[in-house]
This record gives sequence, C-alpha cells and structure tokens, in this order.
Amino acid sequence: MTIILNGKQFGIPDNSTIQNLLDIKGIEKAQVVVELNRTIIDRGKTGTAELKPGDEIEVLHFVGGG
Amino acid sequence: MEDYLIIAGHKIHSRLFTGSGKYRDDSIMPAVIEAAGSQVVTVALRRVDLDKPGDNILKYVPEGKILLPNTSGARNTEEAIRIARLARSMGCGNWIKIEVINDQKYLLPDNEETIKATRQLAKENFIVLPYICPDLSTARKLVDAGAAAVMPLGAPIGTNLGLKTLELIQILVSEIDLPIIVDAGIGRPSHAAHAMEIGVDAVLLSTAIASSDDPVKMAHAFRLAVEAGRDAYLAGPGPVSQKAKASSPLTGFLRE
Repeated sequence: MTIILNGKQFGIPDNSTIQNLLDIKGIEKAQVVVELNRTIIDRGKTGTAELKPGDEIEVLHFVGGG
Repeated sequence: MEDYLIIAGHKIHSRLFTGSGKYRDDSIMPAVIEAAGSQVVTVALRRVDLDKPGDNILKYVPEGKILLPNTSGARNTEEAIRIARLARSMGCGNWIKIEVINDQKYLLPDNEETIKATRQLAKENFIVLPYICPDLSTARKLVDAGAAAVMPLGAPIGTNLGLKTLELIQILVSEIDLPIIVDAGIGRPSHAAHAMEIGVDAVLLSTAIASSDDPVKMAHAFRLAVEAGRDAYLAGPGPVSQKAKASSPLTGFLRE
C-alpha cells in the first residue's frame, strides 16, 4: 500500500504499523515524534498503530534553531 | 547577593540564552554552551530527512539544560499550537517559544496570532515564551494570556543589527511584570550589555555567536557582557549631565 510519509508517497507492506515504518527507515522512536493524520502517536503505541492506505505520516525531530 | 531569574518557578542563573542553529559544525556546541554558561538552549522541530537522517542535535546539548523548542515555521496560531504539541511529545519538557511568522522578508512576528497561540498553550500547561515585535498592548495581552515571559526583538532575526527597538523595549521593562528577554537582532556583546543595563532580564542569541569566526570565544564574550550589563543595572547607573562635573577637587594644584 502507499502512504504519504513526510509529504512524499511511500510504499509499505499492508497492515504495517508505525513501528514497522520506523524500523524500515532505521529510526529510533526515542529520537522522533510521529504524527498520524494530524494525531500525535504516543511512543508506547507505535507498535499497535496500524497504517492504512493514504495515511499521512509526519516523522519529526529536533534540529538546530534560534 | 544571589541574582537569578525566575521563569514559571524555575530559577535561571544565566541570563544568556543560546540558540543551536547555524553552526558550521554542530560538534562545537557543547563548548559554546559551556563558554556562554547558558542554562536555556533553543531548538527547532523539523521533518526527519528519511533518506539521510543526520545527527541528533540533542547529543550536542549538555545534560541538565532547559530545552526551549521554538515554533519556527508556523505561519498562524494553529500551526504554532501543532508544533508546540509535537515538541512537547519529544519528551524534553514543556517550554515553548512561540514564533509565528508570515513575513518572509523581515521575518517579523505576527503579534496577534502569537497572543492567540499563547492563550491556548498556557491553558495546556506549556511554559510559553512568545517572540514579539515590541509593543506594550501586545505584551499586556500576553500577560493576561498566561505567558511566562515576553521576548521582544531587538532587530530582525539574524541581522546582528543590535537594539533598534531600544525605546520600545524600555517601555516593556518598565510596564510589564514578567521577565523581558530580548530575542533576535543582538549582534555584539555591547548590544547585550546595553540591553541588560536598561533592565532587560535576559537575552537570547543565536546568529551572533554562530556567525562569528570563533563561536566559543564569542560566547564567552557575550557571557561577560551580559554579566557586566546586569551588574551595572543592579548597581544603578549615575545621572547623565550635559555639563562637566569635576571628578577631582576643584581647588588648583598648589594654590587656592
């Protein structure tokens, strides 16, 4: 299925969870915050938050800023 | 006498807040923050580059610092609130610098949207530090909205122009019963010292340090300037006079 990941289309196996997505991308969940369709996903729930086709995911982190 | 700043119940001993952006090499940051003596360090929130995840900026912020995420990138109240909530979900505290900008030339903040965002986020128990164009009525509304401090700009972001809004900031210092932190525009230690001399509670710097040839040395220079300006304020500067007043006895040397 295809989801929208940080503004771009991204192919991922059906029934994947947010945690599966982070694992595919090699991202530690402790270093990011994830938003699924504008709802923040608690870090404890990445393993149970299932993705559906067309879902919009934002994966963000802190960067340098003033 | 111990001198410290209190923001939302937190004792802040360093009146120099530092940013974490624009360094040629982020690995210099721990030394910069140490030289500045800062307790409060700002960060921004952005999408992870999923093809090339870079360094985690937090590894360059020494333990025990207060992290002050900003809402840079927000163009209105709703976006600022969204970024603030995301930033808090990073699990690094509930401080937030509200920055709402929809002017791309001067990057001047939208005070009206900032007030609305402050009101909502204060209700959600954020410690809210709004970045504003210095304006008394805006600052008064921010007090009512639950801001923890008010952060007027000295000049547009990243310009190093100095305290172009000095007179307006002075009005805030005299009228607003919240910490006043000059954010943006300060480019030289003398600017920071001047701000502190007039009674500003703290200054926030990013570009001034990061864009210098030697950021660690510049951070130390700013630390000294902020401390000097603060001491001068506490000491109470002497009166200014247009006519000379002799510092030595007015009697002539070896004569009456």
